[in-house]
Amino acid sequence: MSIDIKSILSGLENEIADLAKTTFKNFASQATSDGKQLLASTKEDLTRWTQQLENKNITKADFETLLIGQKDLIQMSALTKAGVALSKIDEFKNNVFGLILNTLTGLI
Amino acid sequence: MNKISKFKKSNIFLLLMVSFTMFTSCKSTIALYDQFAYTQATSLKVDMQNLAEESSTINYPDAKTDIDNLNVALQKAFEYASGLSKNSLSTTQYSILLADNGFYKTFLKTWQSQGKESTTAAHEISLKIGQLMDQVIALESGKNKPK
Repeated sequence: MSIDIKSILSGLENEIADLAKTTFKNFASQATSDGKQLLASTKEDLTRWTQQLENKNITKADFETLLIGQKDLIQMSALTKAGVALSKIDEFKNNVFGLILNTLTGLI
Repeated sequence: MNKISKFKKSNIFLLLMVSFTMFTSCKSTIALYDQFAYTQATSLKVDMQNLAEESSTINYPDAKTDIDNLNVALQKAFEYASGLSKNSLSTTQYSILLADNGFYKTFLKTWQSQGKESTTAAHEISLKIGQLMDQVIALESGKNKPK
Protein backbone atom coordinates (compact mmCIF):
# COMPACT_ATOMS: atom_id res chain seq x y z
CA MET A 1 0.00 0.00 0.00
CA SER A 2 1.49 3.35 -0.94
CA ILE A 3 0.93 6.31 1.31
CA ASP A 4 0.71 9.82 -0.07
CA ILE A 5 2.35 11.80 2.75
CA LYS A 6 2.00 15.08 0.84
CA SER A 7 -1.75 14.64 0.50
CA ILE A 8 -2.09 13.63 4.16
CA LEU A 9 -0.12 16.68 5.32
CA SER A 10 -2.10 18.96 3.04
CA GLY A 11 -5.37 17.51 4.36
CA LEU A 12 -4.18 18.00 7.93
CA GLU A 13 -3.18 21.58 7.17
CA ASN A 14 -6.68 22.35 5.90
CA GLU A 15 -8.32 20.67 8.88
CA ILE A 16 -6.11 22.63 11.31
CA ALA A 17 -6.96 25.89 9.54
CA ASP A 18 -10.69 25.09 9.83
CA LEU A 19 -10.23 24.19 13.48
CA ALA A 20 -8.50 27.53 14.15
CA LYS A 21 -11.32 29.41 12.44
CA THR A 22 -14.08 27.69 14.44
CA THR A 23 -12.15 27.85 17.76
CA PHE A 24 -11.22 31.53 17.66
CA LYS A 25 -13.92 33.16 15.53
CA ASN A 26 -16.64 33.06 18.20
CA PHE A 27 -14.14 34.01 20.89
CA ALA A 28 -12.96 37.13 19.06
CA SER A 29 -16.47 38.43 18.42
CA GLN A 30 -17.51 37.66 22.02
CA ALA A 31 -14.44 39.51 23.42
CA THR A 32 -15.16 42.56 21.25
CA SER A 33 -18.81 42.59 22.28
CA ASP A 34 -17.89 42.27 25.99
CA GLY A 35 -15.41 45.16 25.67
CA LYS A 36 -18.03 47.42 24.09
CA GLN A 37 -20.57 46.44 26.74
CA LEU A 38 -18.11 47.27 29.55
CA LEU A 39 -17.43 50.69 28.05
CA ALA A 40 -21.14 51.41 27.69
CA SER A 41 -21.91 50.28 31.25
CA THR A 42 -19.04 52.45 32.61
CA LYS A 43 -20.56 55.48 30.92
CA GLU A 44 -24.04 54.65 32.28
CA ASP A 45 -22.72 54.04 35.81
CA LEU A 46 -20.74 57.30 35.91
CA THR A 47 -23.73 59.31 34.71
CA ARG A 48 -26.04 57.69 37.27
CA TRP A 49 -23.59 58.05 40.21
CA THR A 50 -22.96 61.70 39.39
CA GLN A 51 -26.71 62.32 39.44
CA GLN A 52 -27.08 60.40 42.71
CA LEU A 53 -24.24 62.44 44.26
CA GLU A 54 -25.86 65.71 43.16
CA ASN A 55 -29.19 64.54 44.62
CA LYS A 56 -27.38 63.55 47.86
CA ASN A 57 -28.58 59.94 47.51
CA ILE A 58 -24.98 58.85 47.90
CA THR A 59 -22.05 60.53 49.69
CA LYS A 60 -18.76 61.63 48.14
CA ALA A 61 -17.11 58.64 49.89
CA ASP A 62 -19.67 56.30 48.28
CA PHE A 63 -19.00 57.89 44.90
CA GLU A 64 -15.25 57.38 45.29
CA THR A 65 -15.82 53.79 46.46
CA LEU A 66 -17.89 53.08 43.36
CA LEU A 67 -15.17 54.56 41.13
CA ILE A 68 -12.68 52.15 42.70
CA GLY A 69 -15.20 49.39 41.99
CA GLN A 70 -15.28 50.34 38.32
CA LYS A 71 -11.47 50.34 38.16
CA ASP A 72 -11.40 46.87 39.81
CA LEU A 73 -14.03 45.65 37.36
CA ILE A 74 -11.95 46.70 34.36
CA GLN A 75 -8.90 44.90 35.77
CA MET A 76 -10.87 41.77 36.63
CA SER A 77 -12.55 41.76 33.24
CA ALA A 78 -9.13 41.87 31.55
CA LEU A 79 -8.02 38.88 33.65
CA THR A 80 -11.15 36.97 32.64
CA LYS A 81 -10.55 37.69 28.94
CA ALA A 82 -6.90 36.61 29.24
CA GLY A 83 -7.88 33.39 31.03
CA VAL A 84 -10.57 32.45 28.54
CA ALA A 85 -8.14 33.15 25.67
CA LEU A 86 -5.53 30.85 27.23
CA SER A 87 -8.16 28.13 27.67
CA LYS A 88 -9.12 28.49 23.98
CA ILE A 89 -5.45 28.16 22.98
CA ASP A 90 -5.13 25.01 25.11
CA GLU A 91 -8.28 23.60 23.55
CA PHE A 92 -6.94 24.34 20.07
CA LYS A 93 -3.54 22.75 20.77
CA ASN A 94 -5.17 19.61 22.17
CA ASN A 95 -7.49 19.35 19.18
CA VAL A 96 -4.60 19.78 16.72
CA PHE A 97 -2.56 17.03 18.34
CA GLY A 98 -5.65 14.83 18.52
CA LEU A 99 -6.24 15.42 14.82
CA ILE A 100 -2.64 14.54 13.91
CA LEU A 101 -2.66 11.41 16.05
CA ASN A 102 -5.99 10.21 14.67
CA THR A 103 -4.85 10.76 11.08
CA LEU A 104 -1.57 8.93 11.60
CA THR A 105 -3.00 6.05 13.59
CA GLY A 106 -5.60 5.64 10.84
CA LEU A 107 -2.79 4.86 8.42
CA ILE A 108 -1.52 1.87 10.37
CA MET B 1 8.81 -2.71 -2.72
CA ASN B 2 8.81 -4.38 0.70
CA LYS B 3 11.73 -2.16 1.72
CA ILE B 4 9.80 0.98 0.68
CA SER B 5 6.73 -0.15 2.64
CA LYS B 6 8.93 -0.79 5.68
CA PHE B 7 10.50 2.65 5.26
CA LYS B 8 7.08 4.33 5.11
CA LYS B 9 5.80 2.43 8.14
CA SER B 10 8.86 3.44 10.12
CA ASN B 11 8.29 7.05 9.03
CA ILE B 12 4.73 6.93 10.28
CA PHE B 13 5.91 5.37 13.52
CA LEU B 14 8.44 8.17 13.88
CA LEU B 15 5.76 10.80 13.21
CA LEU B 16 3.52 9.13 15.78
CA MET B 17 6.30 9.20 18.36
CA VAL B 18 7.00 12.87 17.62
CA SER B 19 3.31 13.71 17.89
CA PHE B 20 3.01 11.77 21.13
CA THR B 21 6.03 13.56 22.58
CA MET B 22 4.66 16.93 21.48
CA PHE B 23 1.24 16.07 22.90
CA THR B 24 2.54 14.98 26.29
CA SER B 25 4.98 17.88 26.52
CA CYS B 26 2.24 20.31 25.47
CA LYS B 27 0.85 20.89 28.94
CA SER B 28 -2.03 23.28 29.48
CA THR B 29 -1.17 26.94 29.99
CA ILE B 30 -4.01 27.56 32.43
CA ALA B 31 -5.74 25.50 35.12
CA LEU B 32 -8.72 23.40 34.15
CA TYR B 33 -12.25 24.15 35.36
CA ASP B 34 -12.71 23.40 39.04
CA GLN B 35 -16.26 22.69 40.28
CA PHE B 36 -15.41 23.59 43.90
CA ALA B 37 -13.90 26.95 42.87
CA TYR B 38 -17.02 27.69 40.80
CA THR B 39 -19.38 26.84 43.68
CA GLN B 40 -17.23 28.88 46.08
CA ALA B 41 -17.40 31.94 43.77
CA THR B 42 -21.18 31.75 43.22
CA SER B 43 -21.75 31.36 46.96
CA LEU B 44 -19.47 34.32 47.74
CA LYS B 45 -21.31 36.46 45.19
CA VAL B 46 -24.64 35.92 46.96
CA ASP B 47 -23.19 36.46 50.45
CA MET B 48 -21.29 39.62 49.47
CA GLN B 49 -24.31 41.13 47.72
CA ASN B 50 -26.49 40.38 50.76
CA LEU B 51 -23.91 42.04 53.01
CA ALA B 52 -23.89 45.14 50.81
CA GLU B 53 -27.70 45.37 50.95
CA GLU B 54 -27.49 44.88 54.74
CA SER B 55 -25.31 47.99 55.02
CA SER B 56 -28.36 50.26 54.62
CA THR B 57 -30.30 48.68 57.48
CA ILE B 58 -27.65 47.52 59.97
CA ASN B 59 -24.93 49.53 61.66
CA TYR B 60 -21.39 48.38 60.89
CA PRO B 61 -20.61 47.21 64.47
CA ASP B 62 -23.80 45.07 64.54
CA ALA B 63 -22.82 43.41 61.24
CA LYS B 64 -19.25 42.72 62.39
CA THR B 65 -19.80 38.94 62.77
CA ASP B 66 -21.23 38.67 59.23
CA ILE B 67 -18.37 40.80 57.90
CA ASP B 68 -15.72 38.70 59.65
CA ASN B 69 -17.27 35.45 58.42
CA LEU B 70 -17.38 36.73 54.88
CA ASN B 71 -13.79 37.96 55.03
CA VAL B 72 -12.68 34.51 56.17
CA ALA B 73 -14.65 32.88 53.32
CA LEU B 74 -13.03 35.27 50.84
CA GLN B 75 -9.58 34.51 52.26
CA LYS B 76 -10.29 30.77 51.96
CA ALA B 77 -11.30 31.20 48.32
CA PHE B 78 -8.05 33.09 47.66
CA GLU B 79 -6.01 30.34 49.34
CA TYR B 80 -7.83 27.63 47.39
CA ALA B 81 -7.28 29.47 44.08
CA SER B 82 -3.60 30.09 44.83
CA GLY B 83 -3.09 26.41 45.67
CA LEU B 84 -4.19 25.28 42.22
CA SER B 85 -1.50 24.91 39.58
CA LYS B 86 -1.44 27.52 36.76
CA ASN B 87 -4.24 29.44 38.39
CA SER B 88 -2.56 32.83 38.75
CA LEU B 89 -5.32 34.75 36.91
CA SER B 90 -8.08 33.60 39.27
CA THR B 91 -5.75 34.16 42.23
CA THR B 92 -5.08 37.72 41.05
CA GLN B 93 -8.84 38.34 40.82
CA TYR B 94 -9.22 37.33 44.48
CA SER B 95 -6.23 39.47 45.46
CA ILE B 96 -7.98 42.48 43.83
CA LEU B 97 -11.08 41.72 45.91
CA LEU B 98 -8.98 41.43 49.07
CA ALA B 99 -6.75 44.48 48.46
CA ASP B 100 -6.84 47.08 51.24
CA ASN B 101 -7.26 49.88 48.69
CA GLY B 102 -9.67 47.83 46.54
CA PHE B 103 -13.42 48.25 46.19
CA TYR B 104 -14.61 45.70 48.77
CA LYS B 105 -12.33 46.86 51.62
CA THR B 106 -13.01 50.52 50.75
CA PHE B 107 -16.74 49.81 50.96
CA LEU B 108 -16.28 48.29 54.44
CA LYS B 109 -14.27 51.35 55.57
CA THR B 110 -16.94 53.71 54.18
CA TRP B 111 -19.69 51.70 55.90
CA GLN B 112 -17.73 51.79 59.16
CA SER B 113 -17.11 55.55 58.99
CA GLN B 114 -20.69 56.39 57.99
CA GLY B 115 -22.40 53.91 60.34
CA LYS B 116 -24.89 52.95 57.64
CA GLU B 117 -25.06 53.31 53.88
CA SER B 118 -28.01 54.92 52.13
CA THR B 119 -30.39 52.54 50.34
CA THR B 120 -29.16 53.88 47.00
CA ALA B 121 -25.48 53.44 47.87
CA ALA B 122 -26.06 49.95 49.29
CA HIS B 123 -27.86 48.94 46.12
CA GLU B 124 -25.15 50.38 43.83
CA ILE B 125 -22.43 48.65 45.87
CA SER B 126 -24.34 45.37 45.73
CA LEU B 127 -24.62 45.68 41.93
CA LYS B 128 -20.89 46.36 41.58
CA ILE B 129 -19.98 43.41 43.83
CA GLY B 130 -22.20 41.23 41.65
CA GLN B 131 -20.37 42.39 38.51
CA LEU B 132 -16.97 41.77 40.11
CA MET B 133 -17.88 38.27 41.25
CA ASP B 134 -19.36 37.59 37.79
CA GLN B 135 -15.82 38.04 36.43
CA VAL B 136 -14.45 35.39 38.83
CA ILE B 137 -17.32 33.08 37.84
CA ALA B 138 -16.88 33.76 34.09
CA LEU B 139 -13.16 32.99 34.27
CA GLU B 140 -13.78 29.72 36.08
CA SER B 141 -16.59 28.62 33.75
CA GLY B 142 -14.50 29.63 30.71
CA LYS B 143 -11.77 27.14 31.60
CA ASN B 144 -11.64 23.82 29.78
CA LYS B 145 -13.45 20.99 31.51
CA PRO B 146 -11.31 18.07 32.71
CA LYS B 147 -11.74 14.96 30.50
